[in-house]
Parts: sequence; structure tokens; C-alpha cells
Amino acid sequence: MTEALRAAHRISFSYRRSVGGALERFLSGLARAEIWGSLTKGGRVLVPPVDWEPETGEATAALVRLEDTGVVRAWTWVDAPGARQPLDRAFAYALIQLDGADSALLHVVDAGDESAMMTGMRVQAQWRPERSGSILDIRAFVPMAPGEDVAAQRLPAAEVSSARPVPIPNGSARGAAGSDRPSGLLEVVSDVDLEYAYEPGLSASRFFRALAERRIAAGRCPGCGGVYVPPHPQCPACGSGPMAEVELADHGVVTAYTVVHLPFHGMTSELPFVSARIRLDGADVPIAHLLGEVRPEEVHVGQRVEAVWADGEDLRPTWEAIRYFRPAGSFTAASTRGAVGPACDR
Amino acid sequence: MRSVAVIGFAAAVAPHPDGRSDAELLAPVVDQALMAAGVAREEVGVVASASSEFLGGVVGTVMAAFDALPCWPPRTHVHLEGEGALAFFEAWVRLQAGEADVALACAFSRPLAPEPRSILSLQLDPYLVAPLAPDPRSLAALQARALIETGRYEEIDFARVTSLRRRNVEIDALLAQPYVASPLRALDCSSVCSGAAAVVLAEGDRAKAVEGNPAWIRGIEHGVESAALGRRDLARAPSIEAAAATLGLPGSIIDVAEVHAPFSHQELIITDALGVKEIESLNPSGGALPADPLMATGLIRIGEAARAILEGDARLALAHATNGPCLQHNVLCLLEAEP
Repeated sequence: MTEALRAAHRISFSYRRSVGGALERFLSGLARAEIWGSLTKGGRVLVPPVDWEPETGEATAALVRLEDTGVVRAWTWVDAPGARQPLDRAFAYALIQLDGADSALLHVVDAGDESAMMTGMRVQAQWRPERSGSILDIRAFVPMAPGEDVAAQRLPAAEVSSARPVPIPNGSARGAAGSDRPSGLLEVVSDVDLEYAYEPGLSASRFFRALAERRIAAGRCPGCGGVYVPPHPQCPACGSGPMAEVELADHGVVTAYTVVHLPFHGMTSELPFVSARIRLDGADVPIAHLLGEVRPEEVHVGQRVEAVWADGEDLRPTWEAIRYFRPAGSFTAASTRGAVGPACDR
Repeated sequence: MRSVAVIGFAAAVAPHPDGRSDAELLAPVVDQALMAAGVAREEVGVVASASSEFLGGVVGTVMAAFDALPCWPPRTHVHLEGEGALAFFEAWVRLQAGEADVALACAFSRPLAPEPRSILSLQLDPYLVAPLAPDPRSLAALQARALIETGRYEEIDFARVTSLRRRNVEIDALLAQPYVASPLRALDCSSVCSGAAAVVLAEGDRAKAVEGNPAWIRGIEHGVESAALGRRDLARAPSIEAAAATLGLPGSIIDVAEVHAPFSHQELIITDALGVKEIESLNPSGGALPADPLMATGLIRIGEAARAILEGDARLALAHATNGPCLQHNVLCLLEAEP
């Protein structure tokens, strides 16, 4: 049995997301080292704020500003932070209930050592000097020593609600919260970077390994007799399997094509180029590949083509082992045109 | 409502990616499930499949996996990017709608990232949570801490669950291990692996024609919690409580329950939320801890619960499945030996 292929595979992409409503006010508040929450009609304060009350769907009544101090309600310790995590030394993730809030905010606590962490401990936000309207504008929450806990002294639990700042109606909150930015222009950029050890499977490994030897491996269904290239583990049409291993010659006919004129990310050919579906002789399904050594206006369905193989180090177990297909010298277009049926996808 | 029953189930897990493709992993499982049900491929009228392409890392690979499914000549096929239990729900809905008499629900998973669980972080709120880059294990640990703070459970209770499900570890030995995300230890977190599952469903008359004991679906309910972790009471699972109430579970006696708890403490939260009087056999399969093929694990719970009835070991069986951080989205399925 063919040894399975495995290859490093990395995907990186970014999303730029615009924000609006309460979320934008929250983030633009962070840029000014302020924390804003929303006051529901039922009198609860939610941080981060929301535009509509989760339970009722009603619009929230107002935005309120909160202190940047609070209590840890749950936490866990990260001993060895990963490259994407916010601190480069051991830290805690924590759900922090800010003073005056009825919900908790997820953030990190920079406590130095796990022994300094305790549910119920008081913490205060430590702001970055340069802020951009991101949750990371708070570098971390840090433990408060009893003496510096001004908020706790000023706000006994029973009086928290009366000590809240004067609510600002949502409609005018943007100006009142001090943002001079029109709503909706603040962006959150998410960089996604994923790494894999990709495995194409046993049938595909057999196909790619054969390509590196200038051979084209295919499979014949034991039930309906259909010949598939690349080979499938079992017949997509009738479900029979496993397929018998067969080999195909490296020539066939064009069953469909398009001339590509527009550039795109990851393009490896010069424009314009021809992308074609080619049914190799003996196969029941076409493969997709490029056409070369031919002017785009000369390409036609039914044209006979043959593989141009890569050499040396380029002859590896990938699709690029075939550089492209070119018109086959021994056949004329006229003699085969019409002899080919419609694309034979089953 | 039409009567619908599970009439066949098969699953396979592989401890590591073993070179097989999705189709190569799934095909024998589908064949086994159809054979167990005594159903021919042509007879399947609806196919509902589930997986996550983010776990495998190559866009479009689900198309190759469809080789394993009875989808030709064309018939209704629904594919979900998500947990297979929701594909099962979809298949049940399609049978209720009268689209077919036999349906196949399946799921497959090949987590190919070095840290497969970290891929699940893509599910998080991109504005306020993802920038902090919490991994699902840390979020589960916050939930475990919240549970301890209620005073209902301690770390030794987590170790008891882990010891039961993993079978070969002593409680003391577990408690001696270091935390990976306090208060969770490595063995409190499920072992992520590759796997596939397939469940065959049939409406009443077709199911009655099957030899053996169809597992009749008495009800399926699912519900989702807030996406904002800080607005949830993480020590409880209100969506499970609501689903359990709808299914009439509080106070009842369940022969076999299979619950989907990728972290040991979650088994305690789930079983509390069910509100049942007694579960005679909980997770006889071992549950999600020893083998967690992400996106197939929940469907396997449904299949294992059905298996207890199919094999004549239970009259009333319950399955739970979950997806998302900290038991965010939950499915309950109640199965019974009588139609």
C-alpha cells in the first residue's frame, strides 16, 4: 500500500470588521481609558454593553460609565502563554465583574504568580499608554492592595447603584461619551493564522506519488466499471469499492476551457492563460489543468492534448509534476472534433 | 408527528490522523450503519452530514468526503459546518416533513492542526474575546472554577468523573497531576482524535419492518446560551434545563444516558441540568473524554444511546450533545423501545 502523504499547510487571512452601536461606544470609550456599560430598562448594567436586552429584545435604556475596578468571579491560570496570547509571562484569564455591573467581562489578570489569584479578589484595569479602541487597550487587570482600593471604600456594595454616574440616553451617547468619530467607522481587525499537517488520504497519495514518476494512476469501479482519475476510495456513483488500480496514458481531449484574463491572489501563470478540463483517454471523468504552447483563440473543445512533464526537482508528488497540457502533435483538431461527447461528469 | 426511530448506528475513532482521507474514514462507517439497519443505499432518501473544514484546513474537502455517502442519483443532501447531532436533528426534521422514509445522519472529523482544539477559538466573538486569544481549555477551566465556587463540587468530583470515563486511572493519581488550566488537569480534558459516525433513521412503518428493536425518538430539543460568557451563569446550563423540561425528564428514571462532556466538570453540570431522578447507566461507552472526534462526538452519543435500545439493554435512553465554548449549544434526544 502507498505510504500516505503529509504536508505542512498554513492559512493566513484577515477580517476587517466595522462596529456600530453599543459596541462602538464601548471600544471608543476604551480608547479614552473609559469603560461604558448599558443600563437595561429593568435596571441592570451590562458590560460589555449591548443595544438590545438579551432576555426581552427591548432596546437598552442608556449608557453608563463605570469605574475600572472590579471583582474576579472566575479564573484560570496560563503557565506558558502562546505567541498570540496577550501577555508574555504567566497570567490568568478571568471573568471580572466591574463595580456597578451585573455581568462579567472576560480579560486577563497579570498577577505574577498563581498563588496571588483568588476568586473574589479585587482588580483594577491597567491601561496601555497608546490606545486604539480595542479590548487590548486594557493591558491587563492587576490585583489591588487593600489600601489602594479607593472604589471599594467609596462604593459599599449596597450603594453601588445609587453611586452610578448619571445615565446618558442611547441616542445622544456618542457625543456624550466623547467620541468625535461617526458611528460605524471603528474597525476590529482579526488576523487568523492556522497551521496544519495536511493529509490528502491514501487514494490521493497513490495518485500524487505516481505523478512524481510521470505516471497517471486511476481507479476502476468494481460495480459500474467507471474509471476515475484521480482515483477515489470508492465509487461516488454506485458506492462500490475498493476501486481496482489502473493506469492511464498522459493524453486526452479538452472537454471545456476558459481563458483567464483577470489576475487573482496566488496566480502562478502569466495572463492570459487557458484553464481546461481534460478527459484522459480511458477515463470517465475529466481532470482540471492548464493548457500551454497554444494561443487561446486556437483552443477548442475536442482538441487532443498531451502532458508536458516537469523535470528534476520540480517532478514531485504534486499537480505541478505536470507543467501543463499542449496540443498533441499527431492529431489534428478537425479529425477529432465532433467525436467527443459532452463533458462526461457522472 | 410521524413516528421516527433510529434503526442503525456505526462509529469509528482513530487515535491520530492515520493517513486516511475523510471519505476513507467515513465510507466503512456508513456501510456498517446501513448494513446494521438492513437498508440499501438506494433506499436512503435524505442525507445530512456534518464536519468542520477548519479542523482539516483545506476548503472544499467536504466534497471529496461525499464519495462515501449515498447521494447518487441525486437526492436531498444537507451538509452542516458543525456538530453531527445537529445533522441528526436535520434528518429528523426532514423525515417529519415527509421528504423521505429513510434518512442517514453522519459526521466525520480529522483534526489536522497540531493543537486541534485551538481551531475552535475561531468560534469566539471576534470583537472582544478573540483578541484575548483564550483557548477552549482555558474557557472550560473558567467554567470549572465557577462550578467549584458554587460549593456544589470540588476538584475530587472532577477526578471521579475522569477516573470513571477513562477507566484506568486512580483518583489519587489524577489529583497528583499538575494543572493544565487550573482547576483542570490534562486528563480532565478530552482526548481529541479523528473519527466518523453514521446513524440511520426511518419512519414508523419502515422502522417496524426492521429486525430487532428500533430506538423510537420520543423527542429532540436543542437550545443555545448567550454568546457572551460573562452574561452566563457558567455553573448551570439553562438551555439543557429548558430542553429537559420540554421532554418531561425531571423526576424520571433513565436506563442509559450518554452525555457529551469534553471536560470532566461538564458531566456534572449536564446531569444536574437534566433533573432526572436516576440514571441507571451513565456513559457506558466512556463518553467524550477518552475519544473526542470534534463534530462527530455528539452524534456518537446519540448513536450509543440508541445502541442500548437496539441491543435490548434499555427501555428509555437519553443522549446529550454540545457544541461551542462552555456547553453553549445543547441538544437532547430521548429514545424509547416502544413506538
